[in-house]
Amino acid sequence: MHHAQKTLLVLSALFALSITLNVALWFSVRAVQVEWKSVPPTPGLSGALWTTLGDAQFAFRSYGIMIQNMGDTAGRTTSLRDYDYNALGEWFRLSHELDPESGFMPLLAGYVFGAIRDHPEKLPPIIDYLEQAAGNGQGQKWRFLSQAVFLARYRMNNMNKALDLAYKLAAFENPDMPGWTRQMPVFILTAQGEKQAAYEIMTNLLKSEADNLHPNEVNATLAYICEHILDEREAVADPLCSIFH
Amino acid sequence: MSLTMIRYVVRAAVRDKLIIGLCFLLIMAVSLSVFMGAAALTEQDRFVAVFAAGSIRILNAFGLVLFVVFFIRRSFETRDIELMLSRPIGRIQLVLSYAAGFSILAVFLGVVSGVCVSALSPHLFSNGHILWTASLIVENILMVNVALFFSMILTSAPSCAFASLGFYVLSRMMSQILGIIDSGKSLLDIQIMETLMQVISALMPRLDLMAQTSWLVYGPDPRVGYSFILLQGIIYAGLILLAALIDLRRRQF
Repeated sequence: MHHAQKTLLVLSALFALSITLNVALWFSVRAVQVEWKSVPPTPGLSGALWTTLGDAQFAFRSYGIMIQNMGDTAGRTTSLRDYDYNALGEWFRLSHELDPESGFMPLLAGYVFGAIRDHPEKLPPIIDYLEQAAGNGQGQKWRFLSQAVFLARYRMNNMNKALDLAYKLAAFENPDMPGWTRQMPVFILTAQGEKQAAYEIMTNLLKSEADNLHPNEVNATLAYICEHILDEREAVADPLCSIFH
Repeated sequence: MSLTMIRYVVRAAVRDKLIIGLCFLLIMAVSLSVFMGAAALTEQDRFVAVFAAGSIRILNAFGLVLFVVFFIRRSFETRDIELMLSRPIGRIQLVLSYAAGFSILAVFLGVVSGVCVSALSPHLFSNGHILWTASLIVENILMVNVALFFSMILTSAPSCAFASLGFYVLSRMMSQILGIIDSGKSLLDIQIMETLMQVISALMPRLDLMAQTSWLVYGPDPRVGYSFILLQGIIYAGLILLAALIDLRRRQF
């Protein structure tokens, strides 16, 4: 055998050995995979901007996708109860600083992370963020506050918080908001048993807004007064309900 | 300027597969952006536009800088520049011809990038897209001239690339640095550092105000208009070219 052939043979044998060693090494770490610890700590605003060379919108969208998929990557799914909601709240606040206009993050917070049912005590950071995201309720932003009211009222059963938010929602100066948003405090007051306050808000609303409301909304408001706020005896005696009936 | 030299630079870009390479990278960036953006719960079109624009902007800067740096350093090492200077072409003409050739490439890639981003979400098209494309073109022109300057004064290609890209990152982060200075927060109470950063900032272009992806979603920022972008391009390209010319005039071959 020539020297060149011997060298080639040795090199080929070493190459085969390298492949075998690599495969063996791969088997030894086959079961090791990336673990998801929990929601990671939030960088500051400056730190967040460094990641996209100062482009706030790019950072907002990148973090948006990251938060949306957090815990649900690499074939893994994570129950909502395993998320650290306080840390999530920090991420939402950061994203609000990066882009206060987008509806993506409030939707993610309200409808995805707000869907947790068995641990309502985790919801306050989500509710606080939705309140922040609603801002002054312009455009469609009032919807985020209505979602916050819903979470406080039905998920947390925190009537006082829900009432505070409902008053804030009703006070938004947005002519495009539907009538039920103005009636939101009434729904909470009714649930609290505050019939007199609920009745007064509804009747005042009818007095001031009846001309601007669709007839169906007027009827729905009357129905709510006569069938939910008042009992049967009170409704018979109420002049508004005589119109309704 | 020499038309022959400009043609030579453009042909070199085609020969080095810069155009094809960057177009391929643009396709990859757009495809990845569509993939990532489509996974969003809502506002998918905006995610796609922002991801594509943000990544394309960085690709433009990196691709052009690397091409210019390696082209110029190779020209020095193969003594092409000395050969050209032995012909009836002055040093000023040489630098200006290079700058013009690189700028043509910068404009071409800026336009292609603008078309790509606009085509991705045509229903979002607004003045913001036009301003974004215009400012990307200006940013590209500035970066090729910055890379030309560093290639003229530094002797190693990796050093030139690092210097140019470091310059790019610093220019894009300048708003953050100025914000920290203005907020009065500092770990060390050393006034001279703040003054030094202000001086450095005054000598750099404000690339942080260029090609903002938020324009594609919410329209142009009223604080940044075509006049600022044009002035920034003219003033800084002139400044950096003059610096390169001064260095070349003083150099002994």
